[in-house]
Amino acid sequence: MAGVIPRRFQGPSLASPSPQTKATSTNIHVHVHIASPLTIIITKKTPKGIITTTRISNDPNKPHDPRAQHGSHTRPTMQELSLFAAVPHSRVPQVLRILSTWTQMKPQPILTHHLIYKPKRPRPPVGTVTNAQEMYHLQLVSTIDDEEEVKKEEDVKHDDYVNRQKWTLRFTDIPEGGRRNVTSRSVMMAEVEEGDVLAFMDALGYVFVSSYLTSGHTLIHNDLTLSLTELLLPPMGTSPHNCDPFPLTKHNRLEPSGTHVLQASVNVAKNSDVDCLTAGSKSLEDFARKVRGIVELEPGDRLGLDTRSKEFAS
Amino acid sequence: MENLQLSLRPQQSSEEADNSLPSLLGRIHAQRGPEAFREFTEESLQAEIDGKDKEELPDAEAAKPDDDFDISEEVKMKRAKMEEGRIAILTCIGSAIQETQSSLDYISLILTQYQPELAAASLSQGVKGQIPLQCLSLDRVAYEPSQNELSQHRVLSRTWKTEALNTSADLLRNAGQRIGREALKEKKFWGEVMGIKERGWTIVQRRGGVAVKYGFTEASPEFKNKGVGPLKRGEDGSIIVEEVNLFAGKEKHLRVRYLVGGAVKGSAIRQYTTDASSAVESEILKARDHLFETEIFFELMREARTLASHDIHTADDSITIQICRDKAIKIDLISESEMQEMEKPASTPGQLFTEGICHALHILLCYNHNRVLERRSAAPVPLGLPKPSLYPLFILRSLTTYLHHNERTENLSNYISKITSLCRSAGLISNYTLSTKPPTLRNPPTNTTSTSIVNQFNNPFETNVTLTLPGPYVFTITMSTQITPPLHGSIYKVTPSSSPSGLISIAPSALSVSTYTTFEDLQVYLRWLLEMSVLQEILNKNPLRETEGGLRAGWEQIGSSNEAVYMKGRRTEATVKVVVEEDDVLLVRGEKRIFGRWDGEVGQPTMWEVVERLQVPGKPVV
Repeated sequence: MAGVIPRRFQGPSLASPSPQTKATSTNIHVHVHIASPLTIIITKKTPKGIITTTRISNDPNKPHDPRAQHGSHTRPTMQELSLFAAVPHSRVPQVLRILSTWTQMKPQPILTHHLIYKPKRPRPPVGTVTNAQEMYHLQLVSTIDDEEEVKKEEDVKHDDYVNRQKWTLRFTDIPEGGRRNVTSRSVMMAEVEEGDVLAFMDALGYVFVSSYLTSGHTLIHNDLTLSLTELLLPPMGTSPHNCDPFPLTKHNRLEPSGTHVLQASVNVAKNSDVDCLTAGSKSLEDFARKVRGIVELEPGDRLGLDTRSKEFAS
Repeated sequence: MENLQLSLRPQQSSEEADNSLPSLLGRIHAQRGPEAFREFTEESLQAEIDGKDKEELPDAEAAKPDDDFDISEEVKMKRAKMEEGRIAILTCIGSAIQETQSSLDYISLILTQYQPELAAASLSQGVKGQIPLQCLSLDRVAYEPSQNELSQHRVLSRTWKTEALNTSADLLRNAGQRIGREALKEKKFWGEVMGIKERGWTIVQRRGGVAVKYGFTEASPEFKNKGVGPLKRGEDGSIIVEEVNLFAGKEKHLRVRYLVGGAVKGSAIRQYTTDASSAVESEILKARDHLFETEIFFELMREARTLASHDIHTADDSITIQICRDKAIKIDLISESEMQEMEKPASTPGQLFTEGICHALHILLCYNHNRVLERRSAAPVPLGLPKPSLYPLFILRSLTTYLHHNERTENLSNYISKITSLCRSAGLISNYTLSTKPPTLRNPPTNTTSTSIVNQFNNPFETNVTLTLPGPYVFTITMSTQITPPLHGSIYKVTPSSSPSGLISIAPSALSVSTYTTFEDLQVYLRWLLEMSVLQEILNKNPLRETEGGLRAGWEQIGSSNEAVYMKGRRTEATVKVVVEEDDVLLVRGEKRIFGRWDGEVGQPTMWEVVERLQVPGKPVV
């Protein structure tokens, strides 16, 4: 188990070495069953006797779901190399046009929903693991279909939004330290295949912190993924249960001036594969050199990309 | 003689030639080779010299009569003229030498005033003897030109200036006109470039100029960079598309031929219609079509080489798809001239079929271009993992699957209909229904995009036949075709219907699902099924049971074979064998004679009549 999902990825209820664990939250019995090293099934039994199951999986052999989050080839772990640049609002169309010409493809519009979670309580130290107290934020990410298309489906209920979406549980590590030409961090993803994702997060020992939307365009060139996006913040008081993003106009820009972020990234399957890591960062640097004068791509601020949780939710 | 030009450069002295012994030796060696000094004596040298004289002499004598008789008047004139010229040249040279010499003497005499020793050296001997040195001098003279001269000079200079100005003005005017003409040409050129751009073509920068891109972005790397034609300005400013001109008139076209038993039943070439607005655009369109045609052929070749196991062969610059033993599709590239030689084909079914194949090849390449774009714009595979390759493209495999499946469906349906007609001619109940998935090209689905149609054809093809054999027993034959893994061809699955209960007793194995990979195996199995069901019919009609007189009488199967005996008491009255022969003839026969034979033709006694006659001893059988 520990060989597949790193220890810090496990919630408190999964910490026990036993394959079957029972966690109790208020009036709900949650039964966690690890069906295979890559699939976790959670059965929830409420006092009324309703049983729901949640299944999450990061099986790499599963066929690729086109609705899954863009850029997420379902791999248990990946090393993400990236460079970032800020693009002022006025220059966004121009930059997009230049990149589109360069990649010879039309920019693909993308709208993703991110729900941020943090652990409820410190995980009790197990064995002699160092940094046992270190806890990380987790994200639920999902790609939102075009608003028009959603509207076409007439019988869509607004409160059903969370269950309608295809969520991916994502853990992003803090970028590696030291002087580097590109930001390098490991990313782990697991697709939620079925069931109540919010209950699952609760059972995992995580609590909702905030949410945001990223809106923009992506482009692909060979191994390079380019995304030019901006962050949209939902109105105050949004909880996971009422986080339907439509209409989009109710959101505020994180950056009122409309500045977008250009992220150029290359994914490497194994973080021990030095050749691929070198090739990946070289292709990123080559790209940065090509677009110098148009956008200035730089490695991200390590502490700005920190995903560690400083304090626990009460 | 005024135009005669002479070089006054001194002739190179031959005295400087190196006649030293080592140099001579070297030259002799080079001229005569390493054997030159072997057995070389005074006598041999003398002999050689004499020999040379003798050789030369007859030449000189032989040349003489030519002078007298053969030289024409014209040549003689030329010779005289040359002689004249030679004398004139010599005279000129003489006077030039004379003048140079006197000028040299004059200047040397003046210079003796300043450097007597040095200057005297260049004085000629004659002058030295006659004129004393330092007797000639020169000095600057104060000269005041007269009013007359001044005015003359002024007029001169003014005239020269005017002339120079006129010349400059002319030059400028010419330059101006040239620029004007150039500007018009440029305007025309760029106007045409814009015209091309407005028609939707992509204009790119290439090799310091502009170029039009007419190739396909999603083509394989071998063709991606070919579709760019640099635009150059012609003499009158109109556009010349360089790359396009390279293969103008050499355009290739993809030809598809349908051969049945070696005879051409259809021959098709994609006919392109152009809506070009200008000559240049029609040229570009032609180039694009040429590129597309060659790309199809290239991709087909690449794919065909991997498909030899499916009877697809490449030879003589053509691809042959063998559909069945005597039907084949041949694909090759032909030039424009060969195309004109082709006869105009009539619109026979074979021709329509061939044209359909030709269209399908083009559509399939477009479809594959779409696939490449889809793949290119999908999320990239992380580095370090194997990248699935798109090549070879899915063109021949899709097409061949369809052709093979169609052919096999036809075979299957023919065979099944034969079987059912056999049974009907024997007065037995038998029929079949046939359904194919996806629909054939003859009646394609409507209201769909080309991509969705092609997608349909990329799934395994399936034909279902529901066959009712006498009894009635119902079997479903499912034929699936896919030339890619996992099927690698066609597979036939025979499934019995839910309750072929009658067959359990005599042929238990008919109950299980049987799978065959060749049509021949299926035929054998179907023949056996037919034999068994007919036998079961006979048994059902009059099974072995006790009659009113306490006798046991009726038909009984022998073991689990296709034979049955008619028993009456303990005596065997008749033995029959139900056989479906390989040439699909149903026989009911005894050991030595045939009681009944049915090959599908009507008007024969039914099987019941034959069997009933057998039951009555002594009654003759037809």
